[in-house]
Amino acid sequence: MKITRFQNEKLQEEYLLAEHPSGLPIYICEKPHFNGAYAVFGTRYGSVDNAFRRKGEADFTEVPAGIAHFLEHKLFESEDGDAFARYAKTGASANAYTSFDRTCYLFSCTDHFAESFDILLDFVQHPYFTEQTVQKEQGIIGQEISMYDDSPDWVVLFNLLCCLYEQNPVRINIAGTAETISHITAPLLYRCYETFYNPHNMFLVAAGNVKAEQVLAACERQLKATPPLPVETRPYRESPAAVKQYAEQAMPVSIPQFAYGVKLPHPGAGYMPARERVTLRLMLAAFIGPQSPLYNDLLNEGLINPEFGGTLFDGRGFASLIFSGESRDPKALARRLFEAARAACESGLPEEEVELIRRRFYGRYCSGFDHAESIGDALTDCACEGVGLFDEADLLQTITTDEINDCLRRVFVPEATALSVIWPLGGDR
Amino acid sequence: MDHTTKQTLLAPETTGLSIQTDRFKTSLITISFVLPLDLDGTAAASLLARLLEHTTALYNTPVALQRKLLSLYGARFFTAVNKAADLQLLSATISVINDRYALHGEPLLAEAAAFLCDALFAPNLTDGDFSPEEVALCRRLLVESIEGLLNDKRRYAIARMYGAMCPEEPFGIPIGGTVEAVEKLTGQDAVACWRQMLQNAPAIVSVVGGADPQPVYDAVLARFSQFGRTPKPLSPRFVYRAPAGVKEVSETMALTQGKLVLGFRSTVSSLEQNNLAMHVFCDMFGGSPYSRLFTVVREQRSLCYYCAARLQSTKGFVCVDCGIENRNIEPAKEEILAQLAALQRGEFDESLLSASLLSLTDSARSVADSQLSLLAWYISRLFDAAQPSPEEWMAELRGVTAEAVVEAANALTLDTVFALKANEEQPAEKEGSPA
Repeated sequence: MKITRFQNEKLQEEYLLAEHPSGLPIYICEKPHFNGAYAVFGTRYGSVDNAFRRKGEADFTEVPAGIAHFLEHKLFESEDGDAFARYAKTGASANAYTSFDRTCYLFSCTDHFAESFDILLDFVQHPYFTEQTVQKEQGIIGQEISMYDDSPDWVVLFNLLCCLYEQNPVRINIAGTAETISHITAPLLYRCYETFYNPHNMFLVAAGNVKAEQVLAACERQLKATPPLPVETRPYRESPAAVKQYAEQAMPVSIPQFAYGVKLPHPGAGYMPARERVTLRLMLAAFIGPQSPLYNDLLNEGLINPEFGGTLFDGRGFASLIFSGESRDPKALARRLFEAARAACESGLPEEEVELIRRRFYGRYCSGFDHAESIGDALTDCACEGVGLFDEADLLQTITTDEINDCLRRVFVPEATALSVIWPLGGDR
Repeated sequence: MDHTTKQTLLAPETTGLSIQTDRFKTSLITISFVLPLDLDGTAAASLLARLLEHTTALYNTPVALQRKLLSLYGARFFTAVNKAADLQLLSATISVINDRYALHGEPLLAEAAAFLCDALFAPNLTDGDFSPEEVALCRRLLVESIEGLLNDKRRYAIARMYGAMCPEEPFGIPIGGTVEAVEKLTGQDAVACWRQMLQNAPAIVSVVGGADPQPVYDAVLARFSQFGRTPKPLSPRFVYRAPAGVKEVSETMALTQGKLVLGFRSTVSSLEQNNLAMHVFCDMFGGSPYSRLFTVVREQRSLCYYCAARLQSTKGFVCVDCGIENRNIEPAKEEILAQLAALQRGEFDESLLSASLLSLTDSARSVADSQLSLLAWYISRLFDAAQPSPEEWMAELRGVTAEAVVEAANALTLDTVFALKANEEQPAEKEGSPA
């Protein structure tokens, strides 16, 4: 097994990357003075992988929206009970999530790590689906979908994504709909599992009070060598412009909720380069962070409240800037944001401001090493995006203010913007 | 030991709480004040908390204040008002990376402590009042935050249940009060609240991290000395109010999924006695994926998407909440009560109890891995009859028997049921005119 160690002297941190013969990359960050340990077994498979073709297949298979998330739910079950019942015997706290571009199974614990880790490796590698259990899950997930349908944050985001994207599957709800999940069958789940739960497409992360030796020995015992299975996801056309610039809906909310997005140039089938991502995040923070005059003007004008935030929304095959929160006048706010961005393009963000933001990022980066979970999640990002855990520390020192300003000038294009609003029911629009 | 704690009486009703641990790259300082909880009082305290967070005399614009925090490597500074039984705690917190990680050798902890003291003891007053503009802004933000509860239907339903369950108890008052109470507040109300707090409220100065807490204590005491402080003790008392019957309250809203919340009262409060068995009962009942509510109500009977039980330790309340379709409200309620009755009769496997003991032990051991969890552990037990460390708590947990769990289960009586029903006829509206 090839093992590479990475160190950062200033932070006094290190981790290793082991390349297991099965094809699985294993990231381990030992923090022996922590009580807790955290492990993630994940696959680079999410809701965007909705049409795929395995090597040698002529046609793409289109699968129902929500199947990656459905598979995540079902994988906890085996012929003799569910994984939660097994974790109940170790005391670990287990969970899983499906996002646009990954599915992760995880647990945290402060004792019996080896037993919990064995459970994780075992159940993720042993799917067990029957028509009966699939049918039962349709009911439970249907209720989960209903819960999200009532969540204004969720609805306002997906309405925005449908404005920004025409064909990119990021516009499709991660859990699907009651209708789409009704088409999911056991054979389809097996097909998705076999395609995407191949060790070459997966990764393993362990952080906190763990011993690398113990983790690697467990992998040796449990991981099955599997030949790689090249998979191609169906390409789609996506123009740089938004499909439409506005969507609205009414829900029981106290004040209008909004999401204002700027679609960024399509990063292709992969992830945006790390340098560009950090540059965009620095730019956003300098442009609209709570220290900016713009943020405080908008606060004083009554257009935002502390729920407001700007974020880089990106993943495999998609990237946007999204400003979201609550506003009594989302349309006026969107106009103000765009005008301010154009003005900032002219004037540029000041060096001094960027320097302060750089400091903040460094401080937050340091404090991220205080928790096994945050280290584990950061390593999960590394595994998916193919970057190193310490890359950000270097990038923060080397990205220049000129780069940040160039980035600002590139992204704010009127055709690439859209606004999504949730209005209070019966309220004045 | 992963950490050590020391409580020091710094001055009358002024406690220093040092949580020494060297496992973090950051340090945390919190100053908390114990205040009575009433409608106008919580509105004023919440407005004050926002004003103190917004600007200070030294950093007299939000831009200046935020830039100072950035210069401290993105130190996190926030104020909060939280319930503590029938009282409220106003706290101001700063968290900063340790000096050794500063890129240019800056004394970050000392600067962070000075910043926190400035925020609490030297607010941005002109002629003894907050500026009308700042008061108007913070009032608006507080009103939007109170109204914003509606946007999270789960939290909204739980708050409505407690409001219905505790109309005569301060605990039933929502933090921040009501929109009406906030809208009538003036800057002078916030100033009065601030003076009253510094002069009369018991205070706790907490320092979590590897640094010596004494310089922080000294800095805070020096500031207190300017306020002629004569604090009076203030401790919550537990009064058991036996439910006279079950209150049923409901509301209908344009939703796809409704919410059901059941509020139980128990005779066991942590203010009066060790309530470990109640923690174990609550976990077995609905605190985990192996609990009765999760395995039976959700998994076996598919009556709801989530169904969880939570303990309100000081008040002795247990709250069960579910996300649910209208047609399942009655069957779910019956099943929740049936599961409670089964636990009350002692009908559970040894494996459920041992799973719960393992899981609670695991959670308690993980407390030392987070500064905020350590602080919350000790602060939330300030008024309790027993104030064990997580290690002591885990040791006692091992002694909890099935009989003790049954006894805890039998201390519960259903008080209030709140149902937020989905109005299935409300049409969804979509699309519209361009911006």
